[in-house]
Parts: sequence; structure tokens; C-alpha cells
Amino acid sequence: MLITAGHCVHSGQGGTWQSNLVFVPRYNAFNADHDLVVRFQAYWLRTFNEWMNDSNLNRDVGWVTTFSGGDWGTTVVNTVGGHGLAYNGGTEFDVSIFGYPSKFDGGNKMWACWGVATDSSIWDDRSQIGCNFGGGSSGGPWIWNYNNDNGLGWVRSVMSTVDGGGVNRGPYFDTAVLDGTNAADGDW
Amino acid sequence: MLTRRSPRSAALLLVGVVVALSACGSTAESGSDDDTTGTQAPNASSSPGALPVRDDLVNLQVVPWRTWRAVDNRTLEVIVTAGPTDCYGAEPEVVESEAAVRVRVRVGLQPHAAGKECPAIALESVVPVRLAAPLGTRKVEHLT
Repeated sequence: MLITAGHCVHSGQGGTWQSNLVFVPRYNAFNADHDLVVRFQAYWLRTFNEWMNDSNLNRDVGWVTTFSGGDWGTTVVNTVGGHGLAYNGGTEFDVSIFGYPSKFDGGNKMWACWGVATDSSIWDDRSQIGCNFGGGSSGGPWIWNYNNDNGLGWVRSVMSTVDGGGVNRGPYFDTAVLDGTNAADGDW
Repeated sequence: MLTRRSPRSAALLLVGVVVALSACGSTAESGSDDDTTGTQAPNASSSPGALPVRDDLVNLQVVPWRTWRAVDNRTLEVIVTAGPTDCYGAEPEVVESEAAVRVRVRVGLQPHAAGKECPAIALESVVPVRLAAPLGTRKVEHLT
């Protein structure tokens, strides 16, 4: 099961569920083998009602349960590993962010950005950081306590938006995100 | 400190894959609870949206187009990867000769979107390109 941005699974208010969704771990178009461990086709999609009905960016979170796939015909977590989920923490934290912004390398290679995420505004509980990650980086994990040796950590937000000044924002992970994750856990 | 790098250690990447917006599609929604709703992942053919063509775009950047098709004698459509069509627009440039039509596309933010947030998704979008003369048998090439 994957956690991602709500708008990666549903286009929001007045919109529809996204079609033909696949997950390609470690995708890199510059390698002879683009999809090192092949790919995983989506089986079930889930998002917050507040995203689906109101495009509420505080709830821009989605979940994807995939079919078994990849090189070994098993789950994503048994193929490439999985992160923990961090929730009910502060909005300010050390973060490592991964994604495929199309403005860097044409979106053909994974990029990372790290630093301190800060509180987005007094009007909501989101976090922000100036990574200048634009189109294509959506849904990438904002990882707290990232371990550079084993590539694992705790997902504490997901890439949601970019503004004209290159500031990226992500939703706050509270108990409702845990509940959604548990609901997605039962989607298979 | 804030820097960018190419990651040394590959993480389990929870990435929003590039998906085309489905123009329409029927979905049977089920699995609702108080806060979230789930559905079986739809597989449907989808047609890309069109980036509005305008000349007042902000932060223009050349974006390589991938494929083209002729809509009619004097209109081409090229495919690019760009942000949502309600935030971004395109400014195509065309240089025509007897032998070839050369096309370059620049993509930028619509003025109304320059000061606000846009979803950081990448989508396949079409850009209409008007020709001064009928395409005929001329080649379509990248303008560099």
C-alpha cells in the first residue's frame, strides 16, 4: 500500500478518480533498465471525502493498494521495503523529500530535497519548505528521520502544492490520516 | 541548509505517478467510512486536456514536445508534460519553410496562478499549434 497526494488518486471537487495508475519503484529513464523491479498496478484507490468533495488542501492525501507485482510477484513492501507513518507531531520538522519534478531531468529521474519544514500559516496546519519542486513531484513522501543508509524513515506529509515562489506545501498528518491508512490497509 | 541532490540511497518511493486525467468514467464507489472513500482503481482510456494558448504567461520555460498530430490542414496538436491546465498555459512558436514546420513550446503560469498554489502534478496535455499555410507534405520538426 502506498500513501500519496489526494490529487494523485482523485482530481478533487467536481472531478473523477484517476485512471490507469501504476507505481514504478526507482524509476529512472537514464538507466538501461528503467523499472528496476518492474511495476505495480493499482487495485484500490482511497482519499479523504474533504479532498474529493471540496478540494480541501488540508486533506490532499490518498492511498493506493496495488496488486502484487514486480520482479518477485509480491507486495510493494516485500519488494522495496516500507516507511513508517508519523502523525500528531508538530508542523516543523527535519524533512527529506523525494519526487520526480519534471523541471529537473524532464521528470525522468528521482530528485531529493532536504531541510527544515516550517509551519505554513496560522490559518491551517500544513507544513512548507522552499524546494521548488514543481509538476511531477506530487505525492512524493516528506520523510522525517530519514536513514540515508537503508533509505527508510517515517512519512510525515506528502508533496501537495507549489506556488509561484517555489514554496512547496504538504498536509498535516493527524489521527484522521492514521484512520485512512488503517482503512486502506483493509482495502485488499 | 537547503540543497538538492540526486539520492544515493533509493527510498521506497511513494510517488504520485504521472497520470492523465480521465475525461469521464463511471466508478462504483464503495468502502466509505466517516472520513475517506475508496473505489476500485479504474482502467479507462483517457484523453489529455488542452493547455490554454496565451501570450501573458509568467516564468516561461521551453518544454520538449513528444508527439504531434494534424487536427486539420492548418492546426497541429503536440503533446507535452506540464502542470494542471487551470494553472498553466502554453505559448507555441512556429517557424515554417517549404520543407518543414518547426515547433517549440514554452509553458508558463497563467497570471492568475502566479501568486497562488497549484497541485504539483504533471499531466500529459495537448497544445494546439496554428499554421500560416496548410501542412501538406511538410515535415514537423523540433525548433531549436
